[in-house]
Amino acid sequence: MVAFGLAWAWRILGERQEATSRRGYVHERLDAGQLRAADFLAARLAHDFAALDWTARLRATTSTLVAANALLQQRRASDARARLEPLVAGGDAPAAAHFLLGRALIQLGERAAGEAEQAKARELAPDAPFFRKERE
Amino acid sequence: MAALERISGLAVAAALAAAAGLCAFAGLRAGAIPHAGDWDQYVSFFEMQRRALLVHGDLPWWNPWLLGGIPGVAHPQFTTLSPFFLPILLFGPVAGTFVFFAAHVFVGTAGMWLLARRLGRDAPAAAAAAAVFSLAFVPILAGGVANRMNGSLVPWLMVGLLDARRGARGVAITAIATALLLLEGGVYALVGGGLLALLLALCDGAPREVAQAALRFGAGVLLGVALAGLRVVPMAELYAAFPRESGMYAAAPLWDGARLATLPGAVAALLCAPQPGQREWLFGQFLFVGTRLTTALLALLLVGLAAARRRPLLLAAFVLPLLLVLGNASPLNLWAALTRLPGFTSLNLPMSMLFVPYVALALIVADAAPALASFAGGGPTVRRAAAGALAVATLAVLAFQCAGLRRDWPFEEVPAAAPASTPFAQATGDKDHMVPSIRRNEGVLAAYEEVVRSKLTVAAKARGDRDDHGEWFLATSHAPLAPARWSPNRLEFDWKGGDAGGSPPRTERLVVNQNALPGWSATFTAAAGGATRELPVEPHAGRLSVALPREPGRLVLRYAPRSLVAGACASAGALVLLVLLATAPARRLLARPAGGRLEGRLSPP
Repeated sequence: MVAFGLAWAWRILGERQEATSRRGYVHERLDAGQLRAADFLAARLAHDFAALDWTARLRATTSTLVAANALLQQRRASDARARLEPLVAGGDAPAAAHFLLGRALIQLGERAAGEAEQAKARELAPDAPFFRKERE
Repeated sequence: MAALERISGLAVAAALAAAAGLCAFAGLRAGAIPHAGDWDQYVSFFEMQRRALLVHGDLPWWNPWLLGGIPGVAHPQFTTLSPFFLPILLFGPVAGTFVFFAAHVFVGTAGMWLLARRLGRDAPAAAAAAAVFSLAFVPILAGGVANRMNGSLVPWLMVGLLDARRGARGVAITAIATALLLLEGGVYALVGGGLLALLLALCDGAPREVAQAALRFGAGVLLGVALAGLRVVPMAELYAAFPRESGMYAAAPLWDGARLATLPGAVAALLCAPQPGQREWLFGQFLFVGTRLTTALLALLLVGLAAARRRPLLLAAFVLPLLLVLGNASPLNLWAALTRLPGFTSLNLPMSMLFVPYVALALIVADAAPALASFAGGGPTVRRAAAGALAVATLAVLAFQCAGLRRDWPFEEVPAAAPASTPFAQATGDKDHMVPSIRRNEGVLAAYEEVVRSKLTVAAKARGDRDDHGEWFLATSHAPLAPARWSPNRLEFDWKGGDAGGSPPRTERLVVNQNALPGWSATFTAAAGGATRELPVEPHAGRLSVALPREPGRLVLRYAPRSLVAGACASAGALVLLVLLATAPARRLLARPAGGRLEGRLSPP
């Protein structure tokens, strides 16, 4: 029984650490601007760890980012803004959400607010090449 | 070993292979393959080799179907020369793959059973060890990574080491296991198994015993390398032309203290993953593989580790390979250290050695059940019953996991293979759906291939490209010159003679829409008769090209790498040596019944 308890605890610890590590990698992909890859990885994470609530939220976030990015490419900035603003208002949005919202605001002519959002993105992920490229 | 013993070992391996094969593949249609992980890639590799052999009658030294043409048999992912390829020939690349997988489970678990018996486990404990070892196949199956299934031969390398210390038979077993591994391109399994064998050999007792074990095992490996010379020498030539690097491990620190905090999680993620299979990136490690021991077997592993506290070599044989396999996920990065050694710099996927820690793990878990029974006051019968129950329960786990894979796999429909008369054509293709292209006798220029692609300039043009003039055409007029006979290694053209015009008349050239890599030669036989003469093959914008004589005749383009003859000679010589090992004088010369102390140091606690 002791061994079983230890094994159970070890397995649960492993699952938690794995989920955390994979979340970190999803954020890395987002920071690298690889939104579709991040969404795919988040989907697999949510599938493997359905019991953890945050995995479903992460998947919803990456899906929203993919959709918003597509809208921005279609120059539908107001639709993208409508999707991104609730995400950013949540408080723990990834840097990519701030960055894309900034891009939407700039497309809508709100340059100052847009640049402020993009500055937030750079603050959250100072080493991310995706945001650095935009700054240049 | 008594005949009954052998039969029971084979029966255990057969039961495990059947459970894995039937549960994973029962009910699958011939026209559909799992579309997950690398399944499409490996089935397409099987399809190319089978097509070359059965449809075009060629041993596929050249592979025109990938990246505009690359070496075939020399490629580490080709398995043409391996006996495990036989099911692919017999049953086709879809059903054959299933038999290929089951055959590896059979060989691997039979080897594990025999190893456990050699190391003093009774038959039920050996069966339990074989069953636990079989769980290492599940993530490989999930990813469809056919050329990692050869990890099945790792236990045979250990059996070879144990027996080589005592006589010629062990040297022969080592040689055969090594040759089979290399014929399947199992470089990772060979390196991993070789390192484990080296660790064990170093702990065989006095320096004399250590030297005997290391030398005899080394001799077996060398003989095996030579035996597979027909494959190894062209493969070495390929690696020389397309050198590989260990990638991210070149800059990885050998010690990373931050990984200590995540080490328990990394080990649990490797041994008891939520889903068997691969994750792209985990704990800083690219392509992190996960097996699923289940909590119960993980608990038995803990019991087994506690029971093995007086067997430090058994613990080391588990822990050191485990750290090696974890790569960047381990605080002590043994993989980074290994890949900095000369000769090992091309290795870049530590998880490919998954089977290596599983050898000792299987023994430790198998020892735990009788140890628990003994702890509870059970006698020999109860201990045997406990080990037997563990074997049966693990077989059920294996079957359940394989059936789970089948249930979750998405499928890719593939068309029937095109007949030999279907002309070959290059197309861009889809790297995630290569099997349908190969079945249409169509090359895939955008292929998923990780061995040569990064260093290869693809010169061939896809159908519809700006510079596309067909698969075979005259350089000046772009008029087609279709081959009278086409096969992957050999193209024959009937040339009606002539030149490219101009004053003075220019020579016409034939261009074949495939990469001009070394190994191609051309001969010409004039229609009027006379001796066949060699013509130089000169690349035309990177594609195969030959200047055509003015007179009519037959031009033959043939691919045969330079290394072929050297490799064939090495194989033939090694085969003679292997036969000599079976003779009475050789057996007498190498007989050394005393052996060393390995068996005692790896015996049940």
